[in-house]
Amino acid sequence: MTETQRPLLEVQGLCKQFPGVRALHQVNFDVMPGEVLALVGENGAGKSTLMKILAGVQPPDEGQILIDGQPVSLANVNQAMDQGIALIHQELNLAGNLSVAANIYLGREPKRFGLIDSRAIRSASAQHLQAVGLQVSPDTLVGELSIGRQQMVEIAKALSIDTRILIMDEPTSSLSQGEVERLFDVVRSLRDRGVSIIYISHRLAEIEELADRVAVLRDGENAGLLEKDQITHDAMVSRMVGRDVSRFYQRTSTPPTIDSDATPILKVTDLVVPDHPQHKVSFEIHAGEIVGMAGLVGAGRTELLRCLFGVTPPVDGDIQIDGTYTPIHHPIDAIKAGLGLVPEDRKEQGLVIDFAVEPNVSLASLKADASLGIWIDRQREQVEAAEGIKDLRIKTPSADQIVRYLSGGNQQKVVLSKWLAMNPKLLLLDEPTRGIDIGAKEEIYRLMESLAESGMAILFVSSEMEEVISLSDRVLVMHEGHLTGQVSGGDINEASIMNLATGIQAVS
Amino acid sequence: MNKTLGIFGLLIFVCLFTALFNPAFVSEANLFNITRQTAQYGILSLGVAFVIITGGIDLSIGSVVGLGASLLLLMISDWNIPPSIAIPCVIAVCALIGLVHGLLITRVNLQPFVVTLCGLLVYRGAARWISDDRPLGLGTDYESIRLLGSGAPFSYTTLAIGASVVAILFGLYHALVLHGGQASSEADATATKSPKGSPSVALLQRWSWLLVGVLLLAFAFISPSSETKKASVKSATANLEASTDMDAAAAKASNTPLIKIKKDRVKNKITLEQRVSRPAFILPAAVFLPTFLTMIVGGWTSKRKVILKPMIASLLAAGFLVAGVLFLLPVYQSVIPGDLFSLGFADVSGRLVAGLIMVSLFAILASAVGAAIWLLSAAASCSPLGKALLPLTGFAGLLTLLSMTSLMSSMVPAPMLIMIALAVVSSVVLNCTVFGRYLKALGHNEEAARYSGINTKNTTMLAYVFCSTAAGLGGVLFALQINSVQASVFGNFYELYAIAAAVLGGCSLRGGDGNIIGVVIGAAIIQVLYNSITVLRIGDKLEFAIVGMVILCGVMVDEIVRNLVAKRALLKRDSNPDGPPAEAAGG
Repeated sequence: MTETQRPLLEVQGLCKQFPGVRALHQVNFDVMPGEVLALVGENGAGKSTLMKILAGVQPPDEGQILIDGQPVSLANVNQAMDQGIALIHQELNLAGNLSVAANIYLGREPKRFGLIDSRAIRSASAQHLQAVGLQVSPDTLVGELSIGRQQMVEIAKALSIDTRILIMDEPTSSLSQGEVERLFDVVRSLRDRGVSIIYISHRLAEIEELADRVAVLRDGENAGLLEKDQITHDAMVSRMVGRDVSRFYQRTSTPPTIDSDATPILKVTDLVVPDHPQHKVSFEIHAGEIVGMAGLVGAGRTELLRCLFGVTPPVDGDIQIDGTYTPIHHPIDAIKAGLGLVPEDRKEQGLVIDFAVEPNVSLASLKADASLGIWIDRQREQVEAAEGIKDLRIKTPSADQIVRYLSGGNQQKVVLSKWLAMNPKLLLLDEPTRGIDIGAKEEIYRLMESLAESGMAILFVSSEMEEVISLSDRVLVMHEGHLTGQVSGGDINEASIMNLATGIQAVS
Repeated sequence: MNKTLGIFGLLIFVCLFTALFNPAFVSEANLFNITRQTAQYGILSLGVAFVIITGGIDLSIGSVVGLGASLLLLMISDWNIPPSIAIPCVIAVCALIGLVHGLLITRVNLQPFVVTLCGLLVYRGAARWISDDRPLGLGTDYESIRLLGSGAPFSYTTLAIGASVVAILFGLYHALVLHGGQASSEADATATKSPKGSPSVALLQRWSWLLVGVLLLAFAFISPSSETKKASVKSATANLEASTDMDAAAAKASNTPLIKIKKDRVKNKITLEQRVSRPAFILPAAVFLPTFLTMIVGGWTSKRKVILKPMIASLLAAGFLVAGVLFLLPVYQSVIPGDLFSLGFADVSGRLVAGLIMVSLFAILASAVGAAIWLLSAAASCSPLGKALLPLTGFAGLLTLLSMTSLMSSMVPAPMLIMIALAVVSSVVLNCTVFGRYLKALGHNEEAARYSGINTKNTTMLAYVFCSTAAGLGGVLFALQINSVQASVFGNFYELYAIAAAVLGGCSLRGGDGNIIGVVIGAAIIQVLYNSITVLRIGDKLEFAIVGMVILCGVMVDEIVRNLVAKRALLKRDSNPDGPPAEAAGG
């Protein structure tokens, strides 16, 4: 990239106002042909608004967008597409019941005699799939592919419309390490072919690895542009937040000393999870422990938590809670035994998203608090919600606010306070900080620590390595449904976990 | 709550419109019929509302009504089983049907649509089989038990006195317990939130429910109940006769030649003047006018901008309405549809003129009702005084309208009492019990409900049991009232009326949403529509089309408003710097 080269996309003085707040103010940046420009900023910094404007979803109030030096209007998604701009949203927009090829050409199927020309679709799709290095048949149903592969299908779809500028929003949030690597290879090869990529991510390590330049947004304004050699984690973070922060969350409490003779809170013996019937899983968790569960996506961690919680009851094996054998057939049994689960998908599994904060917080404890098991105890409910809002610092106008209209971090806190209202012995958390901004993440880490200090046992699944390493007293590692081993104390590091997670070194 | 007010406005509008063109609509006999039908269909709607809240559907209601009705009459007349045993038996059989639905849906994981569609066919066939397609009836026997469906124990005045006692008790509870507790615990919260709420306003807010109760009580006592007390026995028997027919009053009205309407109108003019001089009219009007003006003035002085537009709209609409009633209505009444109507310079078809007047008055009245609601809500939203006065003002306005009808001297049909009881029970179950909360939670998101330790299967099953039980109860009441059941047609399409009423009343077929008052109002709207189509002689060929259009419009407006509200709330969230958007929510 030389200085003389003309930028492919220029954004000049972009402003966007929403009632009551300035989402974007005089934002400028440009994208050269064939580069990866990373866009970083905390949640609410204006990234998503900027992205929506570029993709033609929302019009800007002021400012102009130039492509090849020509001002263009991006009034709707089709115009943006005509300009060669494609957006791959973090929540993929694919029809799971259609084939890969049909998805790639969805909405613009080539016709032959008025009918869909499936042969043309198939052969063209195969080409695009090859370009992204995805080795699946174009006839495979998208629903049968892993998330990582679905992402590749999305990219292939973008390529099929001659995309020159590809906007990727948090593309790696649900990918495993290997899938991330593969994605990066594809991104690099696209860049080499001259496609410009605007890459939006919270994962700064990825950006360090991938980006040619980094544009930082803070509160809707430009907060700095980093050239390739300036891109470091600390440089990005200090511009994002406007201050220097330590690299990652530091635990303040000391790990508890576990008396191995004490009765564990949870003891699992030869548990057979229905999703992976060929493996037996055994482990135990003591009071006050924070146990991380690492593994690649698809390793069966979520399935194990769901099984423990009775969502998909175990096929075989024993679960002892606090020393007593507890059969778990339904979440009701698990909750009765003192378990709580903060599920992976908080919108679908964690929350009744159209309920207000209060009934969401009280949902699990409602029956236990009800008088005669029938009548809702309104006062108790109000108190629980008020405590949850206060203790977890849920930012909401009131307890009557519909949860849908809260931010991701606050939604997650509502899920947490639902379980804290039950005062569980063991809290299971599945990707507790996914899609949450840095501030809320730290609050959740601190909460997990203080809960463990108060004697609660915590088992959490996370795909963010830093999170697992810095938070856990002990790490259980899974690989393809099999508990390959555990590391604890000083042995917890990336290498030891990755060895187990990739199945390189299996502990019998 | 806003949604309920909206469809309540729709109900008032349809009633006003019909009464405007044919005062026979507000006659005692017609109101009796409408309220009885509302009650009968309302019972079915209440049942299906629970199923709809779970996100399911029950298409078998009409057939269950038919089966229940046939079974009941068969048991009593052919098998000589005493009604006191037969009725519980029939209801138990229907409950069992609901249990089977619930089991098939939750244990075998069949779709509600499929299960109840098959039910629709099966129960219809079963009813025809057990009755052998004979017409069933009790004739003139079992008069006392038939009163359950067709009786009229007392007049609406008595019901209003009862309701006012309840309202007064609730008002006391509200003022002393709820509000008293709130005032102390949330003293600091309210102090920071609404510092401008003066003590007198707070006092008014505190006692508003009690005031409403007292007003209703006074209204009930002043209402012309005494003069009808002598006539009540007479009218009750008259109603008994009338009720065997589908719509005695309406049918009569449709048979009346148009020229007669003119006479009716003259008669009505006198009665209208009489009504205006009546204390039952003066009392609510005397409460309504000053409170309404205070609300407007209060709104005007605090936020002139907010109230200006609705005020202009209301004044305009009111002007049009007065002009329309004074000038257009007499023309309408003088038109003879078959003949030509002279415009002075040309002659046009009378039917055309009548139609045009009807349509234009429809539009004028619709905008007047809309503007009035707009004005009231604007006045209530922009000053604390307005908010405190709203219940009293709205209620007084409603009573003023009621005083111009003969509802208070009309009798209460027995099914109405049963429906009210069922509605109260349903409302308590839905809002105050764990079961009701679970029902809403799993309707919104069954997976999240299961993850929260809710036995979603049993909860869903109970909803189906309740629905079929209500349908059975409805079938019993229909059978006892009509006293003539032909199993092949009895109850046909009733499920659609029930579902339509529930949907109109704010139940979303997506599940989760629903409120009981709305469902009852929805049932009333549908019955009033049917009645007004007959009373206005629009012709029953258009019946289905009109009802369908009204329901469609209601649901459409609701959806549009809902989307607007959601959009605004999302914008507010996205623009709120304190709460960053859930931009990276996991998926």
